[in-house]
Parts: sequence; C-alpha cells; structure tokens
Amino acid sequence: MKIKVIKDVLEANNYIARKIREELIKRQAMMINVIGSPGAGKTSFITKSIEKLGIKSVVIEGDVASDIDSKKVAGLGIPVVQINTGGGCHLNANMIDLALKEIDVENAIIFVENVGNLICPASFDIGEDFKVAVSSVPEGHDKPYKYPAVFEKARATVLNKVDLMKHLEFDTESFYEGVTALNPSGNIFEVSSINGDGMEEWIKWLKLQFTKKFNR
Amino acid sequence: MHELSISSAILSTVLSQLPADYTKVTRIDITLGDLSGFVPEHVNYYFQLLSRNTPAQGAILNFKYERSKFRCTVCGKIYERCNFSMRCPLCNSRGRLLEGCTSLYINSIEVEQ
Repeated sequence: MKIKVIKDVLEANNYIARKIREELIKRQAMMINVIGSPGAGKTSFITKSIEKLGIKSVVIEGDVASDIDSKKVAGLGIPVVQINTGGGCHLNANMIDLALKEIDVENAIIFVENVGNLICPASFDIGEDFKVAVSSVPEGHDKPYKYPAVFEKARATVLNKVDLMKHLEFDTESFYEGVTALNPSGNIFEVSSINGDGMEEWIKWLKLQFTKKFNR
Repeated sequence: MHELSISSAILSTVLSQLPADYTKVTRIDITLGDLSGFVPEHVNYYFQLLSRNTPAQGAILNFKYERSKFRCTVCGKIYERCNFSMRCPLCNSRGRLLEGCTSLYINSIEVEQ
C-alpha cells in the first residue's frame, strides 16, 4: 500500500527556527548566521564588525571543539556563548535555542559564527534573520562554483582578506559572476578584517537591515 | 556527515506514518534538490544503519533529484548548470538562477502487512 506523506524532512528543525524568530522579535534583536570555511576569517570579521557597529552585539560561537574563538571574542569585552558540536559539522536550531537561553540581551545584533564549513551549515535554518557567506581571497575565486548552496542562500556575501589580493591570483570577475549568477539580489562586500578596508560599506548596510527590521 | 541527522529525521517521520496494522516499510520516495546540500548516497547509507531492527529495515530509498534552473541573461534560454560553469550552454553568456532547488521532503511511502 502506498501512503502519501509530503513532509519536509527538516520540519523539526524548522519548527524550532520559527520559534527562535518569534523570540528575536520579542527581544527586538536581529540574528546573523555567519558561514564560511575554516580560516576564512569569520571571527576577525565579526569582531571588526562589532568594533565599528556601535550597536549592542553578542556572539554565539560554533566550533567542533575548543574555546579558542570565544576567548578571543570575550577578550575584547564582547559577550559570547560557546557551542561545541563535538564532531557535528554545523549548528542546528536546537543548539541556538539553548544558547539563546544563556543570553540575556535585547535591542542587539546576535552574530552566530557557524562551524567552519561551506557545505553543511547552509542546509540548516537556525532561526537567523539572514545568512552571510564569508569567503576569503586565499581560498580562491572558485568557491561559488564549488559550494553554490551557501552563496544562493546568503543575503550578503563578504569577500574577506582583500589586503592579500596583490599577492595572489584572484579572479574577482569570476567570483562576482558566480555569486551573482546564484544570487542576483545578493550584496557583495569586499573587506579586510585586519586593516578595516571596505568595512564602512558593510556596516552601513548591516545597520540598515537592523533599522528596517524594527522600523527604528 | 550531516546526512546522519537527515536520515534520522526520515526514519522517525516514516515510522510515525506507518499504519497500526502494517509491519513493514518497503519503499520511501524522497524529493531532493541539488542545492539542498545533501547527498542521496550518504542519506541512504545512514538510513540503512539507523533503520536496522525497525519496520523500515531494508526499505528502498528512491530519490527524485531536482536540478536548479538558470536563465541566460542574453538569449533567455533556460538551462541546468553543466559541470563547473554557470554560463549559458548555447551562447556562453552569463546566467541567473531562476529556480533554486533546496527542497528535501518525503513524498510517499510503501508499506506491507
């Protein structure tokens, strides 16, 4: 006997993600899911963004193991919650739900640094307002072609470490072509989280997203 | 390895749909998009491990693989991506994603008494 089912396999995760969005609205908070490869510079990008933002911010750090990144963030006086997935390759909504219980914050931006991985984190809704894909110059310009899902789903793509551009053969046109093919309405920001180049434009855009969410 | 949680979710969904007077799930039809980020072979591998000693042991997972469509910005041709390029296979111009296939859902199951 054949039984029609029509059920989203990720339904349980997505249910929690919807609850998280409700919670964020209650707290007047915006949550960003930052996704990129290991070594793309996600932590530096987040801390540099917070430094320039002028809006109360907290960080949820996702790593397979260790508290290296969360110590780095805490050392700058930024509130941080560490999630260790213990081998898991991505964060899911349930992990974020638990982490949010440890954060007593309102009127803030919550940066979630997902596990360093361009594949798995793209598939799981964690209740974020939007995803930001972080790719870096040393990784090469082919990332949108090899890992299309994350670039398709991200509201913004950040090309980090542009200060290294002069030392490497990075085909900027090919990178842009790949990202815009997958995400015609997406925004691309070229930044250096080390010297701060390009951060103004990104910060301006980020502030606008925050303002728009709550009609501030 | 992120397919492990997906295979687990498929198994629990399928078992929850099994009618009381049926004892075996023989086939599961699943739609999976090329931008879902999941690999059918891995989903199947974990499913076969997880379903041991359950009514779904040995069930065949049948995947309908949906491919994203692009539209050429010059000639308008609608096409599926071919290998590395996202360009139009006819005129080699740039394309734009028209329909991204991110879906992953169970369509139906077949059960036996």
